[in-house]
Amino acid sequence: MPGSADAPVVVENLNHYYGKGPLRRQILHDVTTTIPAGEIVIVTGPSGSGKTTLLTLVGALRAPQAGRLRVLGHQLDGANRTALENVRRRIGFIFQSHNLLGALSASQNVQLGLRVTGRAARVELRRRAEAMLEAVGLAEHAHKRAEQLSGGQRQRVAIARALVGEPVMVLADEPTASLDKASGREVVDRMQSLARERGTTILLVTHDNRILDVADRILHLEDGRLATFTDAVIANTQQMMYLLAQNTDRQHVEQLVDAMDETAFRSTLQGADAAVAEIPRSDRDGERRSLPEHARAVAARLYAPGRRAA
Amino acid sequence: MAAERTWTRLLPSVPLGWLQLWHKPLRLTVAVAGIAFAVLLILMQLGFRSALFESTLRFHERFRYDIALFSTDSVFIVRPAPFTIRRLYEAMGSPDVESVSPVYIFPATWKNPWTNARRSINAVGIDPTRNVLDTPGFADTHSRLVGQDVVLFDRASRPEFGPVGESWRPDAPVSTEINDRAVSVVGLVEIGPSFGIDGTVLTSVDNWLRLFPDRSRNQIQLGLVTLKPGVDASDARDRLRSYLPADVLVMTKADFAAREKAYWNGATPIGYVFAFGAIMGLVVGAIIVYQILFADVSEHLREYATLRAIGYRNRFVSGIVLQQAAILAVLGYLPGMAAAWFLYRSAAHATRLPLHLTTDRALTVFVLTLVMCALSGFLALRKVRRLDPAEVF
Ligand SMILES: Nc1ncnc2c1ncn2[C@@H]1O[C@H](COP(=O)(O)OP(=O)(O)OP(=O)(O)O)[C@@H](O)[C@H]1O
Ligand SMILES: [Mg+2]
Repeated sequence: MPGSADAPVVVENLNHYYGKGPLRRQILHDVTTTIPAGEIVIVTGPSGSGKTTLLTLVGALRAPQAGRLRVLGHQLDGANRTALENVRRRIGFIFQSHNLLGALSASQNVQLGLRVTGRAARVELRRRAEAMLEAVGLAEHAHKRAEQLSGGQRQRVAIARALVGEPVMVLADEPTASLDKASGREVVDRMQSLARERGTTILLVTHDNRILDVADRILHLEDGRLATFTDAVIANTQQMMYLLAQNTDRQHVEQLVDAMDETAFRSTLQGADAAVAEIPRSDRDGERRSLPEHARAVAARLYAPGRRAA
Repeated sequence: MAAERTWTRLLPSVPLGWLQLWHKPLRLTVAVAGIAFAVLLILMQLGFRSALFESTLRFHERFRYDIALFSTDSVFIVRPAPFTIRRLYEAMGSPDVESVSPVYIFPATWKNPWTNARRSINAVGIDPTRNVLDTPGFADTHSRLVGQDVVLFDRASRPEFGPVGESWRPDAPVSTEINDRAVSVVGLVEIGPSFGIDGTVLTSVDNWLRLFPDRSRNQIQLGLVTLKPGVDASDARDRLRSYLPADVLVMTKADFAAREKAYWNGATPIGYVFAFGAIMGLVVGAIIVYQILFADVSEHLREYATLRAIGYRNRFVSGIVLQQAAILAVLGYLPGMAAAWFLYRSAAHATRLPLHLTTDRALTVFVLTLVMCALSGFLALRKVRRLDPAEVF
C-alpha cells in the first residue's frame, strides 16, 4: 500500500489472547490494517468484539502478543515498557469516562496532558492549557474542578487534555457514551475540527450511530476479525436505518424494510458497495465522502422503484 | 473561589500530592490529628524514659567522690543494702585514697506538718562537716546539720510532703516528725524526686542514727572515696578491687551510673514500658498514615491509572503518594510537637521530674515520623505498582 511506511498505525496479523491455560481465549484474529495519517477512523462492532483491546494495543497500553504492530514509527511488538511509555506520550487519549483528577481544576488537568510530553516549559503550561480550554469553549471554566462541571464539559476538558500536547494521534474509546445527543455532537465536532486543523489521526471506538458521519473510514470488528465494508454495512443495517429514519419518513422506511426479502436486500447493498468503490478515493485535500453520503447512496438505491421490483 | 484562583496562579505547577490531600479536608484533618497524637505519644514516652534515667542518677552524679563502695546486692534507689563500714576504713589504707566518707540511706516516714499525713521519704545521713553533695543550696547549709534533730529538706520533693519549700524562712523553720521523732528543717536544698524517691531529707550521721535507733553506725549503705590528685579512677578502682574483700562493689562514678541505668533498663519493666510506649506510638502512627494513603490510592486508582495511560512513569505516580506521606509527616509533627512542649511543661511541674524537650529528641522524633510515614507510603505503593493502564479504557 503506498505511503504505508509513514502511516501512523500499521497492523499486521495481530492476534491477542486473554487468560492462561485452558481459560486462554483469542480475542483478536489476524487483524491487519493500515491507518493513514490525518484520517478519522471509527471502529465499530458488537460488544465484546475486541474494539477496546485493539485500541489499547494501538495505544501502547498493552504489549502485543503475536503479530506486528507499528505505531508512530515504533515497532511495539517486542518493545520494552519504557518504549511503550514513550509512544504513549505522543498519543492523546480520550476515555469513555472523563477520568479527570477530581482534586485538580480543569486547567491543572489539562496541564497534566502537556507536562507529560516534556516539551513545554513550566511557565508555559498554564497559558497553553488555558488556550486549549478556550478552544473547546471552556475558557471561563478553567479554574473549576471536575465535580463543578457538567458531563459534556468534563468530556471537553478530557479532550483538551488529550489535544493540548499536540499529539500526532488521538485514541478515543466511546467518548460520547456518557453524553446526551447535543453534547455528544459538540464533543465530536470539536474533535473533528481540532484534528482537521492539525492533521491529527483519530482512532475512535463508538457504539454511537449519531457520530458515524465524521468518519473517513469505518473498521468493523466482528468476533475479533476485521470485516469488509460490505459486511460492515450489513452488520450496521440497524444503524443505517436509524440514519435514514432521521432524514426520511420513518414509517415509510420501516414498511420498505418489511417488504424486502433478505437476498434482495443483500444484492441491493452489494450494489451500493460497488457504487461506493466507484467513488474515487479522496486524497488529503479533496472532498471526503463520509458515511451519510454512502448512506444516501444506499437509500437512493433502496428507493429506486425498478430495483425494488427486482 | 477568587482566593483560590490567585493562589493557584502563584504556583505554576502545584504539587499533586498536596492537592490530593487538600481535596479531602476531613480526611486530612483526621490524618494530621492521628499523626500528631502518635508524635505526642512518642515524645512523651521518650521524655519519661530519659527523665527516669536522669532522675535515678541524680545522687550518683551529685555526690562528690571518685570511687563508690556499694553493697553487691542492691541498687541505689530501692532500699540499698548495708555493708560494713570496715571496708571504708580499709580503703583509707590504700595509698591512692585521700579521704573517705560514709553515707547512710533508708526510707523514713515523714509527717506532713500541714495535713499530718504520713509518707515515705528518703532519709540520707552524711558527714555534715564536708561538702559531699553538689546540689543547689547544700554548700551553704550542710554545716547547720551539726545540730541535734535537724534536717535539710529537698524543696523539689513532691508536693505531698507539704509546702515546706514555700513556707520555710530562716527565722521560721518548719517543724515536723520523721519516724515519729520531732525534727526541724534548718535549710533547703534542691535535688528532685525520681521514679523511686518522692522526696529527700538530708541529715547528719548522728541525727540519722537517732531516726533509725535500731540501725548500727557500723552498717553503711554507700561509701564515698576521694582519690589523691592525679590518680586515675579506673586504675585505682582496679587496685581497690583486688585489695578489698569481694563483698563490696568498687565502682567509678561512670560504673555506678551505668549499673543503676542497667537496673532500670533491664531488671525493672519500667524502661521497657516506655520504650514499648514509644514503639506503640510509631506503630499507631504508621497504621494511620498507611490507612490514609491506602484509602487515597484505592479511591484514585482510576485517576492514577489514567496518569500512567497518558504516559506518566510509575515513579511520577509513586511520587504523588510519597509526597502525601511527607506532607502528612510534617503537618502531623508540628502540632504533635507543640502539644508535647505544652505537656512536658505541665508534667514536669506536676511530677517534678526532669522532663525537657531537647533538640536532639525533637530531631530524632522528626526523623522517626518521616521514616514512619515513608514506610507506610511504600506499603501503600504496592497497589500503585500493580496498576494496569489498559484498565482505564
Ligand atoms: N483484561 C481482560 N482479561 C480477560 N478478558 C478480557 C479482558 N478485557 C477484555 N476481555 C474480554 O475480551 C473480549 C473483548 O473485549 P473488549 O473490551 O476488547 O471488547 P469491546 O469490543 O471493547 O466491547 P464493548 O463494546 O462492550 O466495550 C470480551 O469478551 C472481554 O470479556
Ligand atoms: Mg470497549
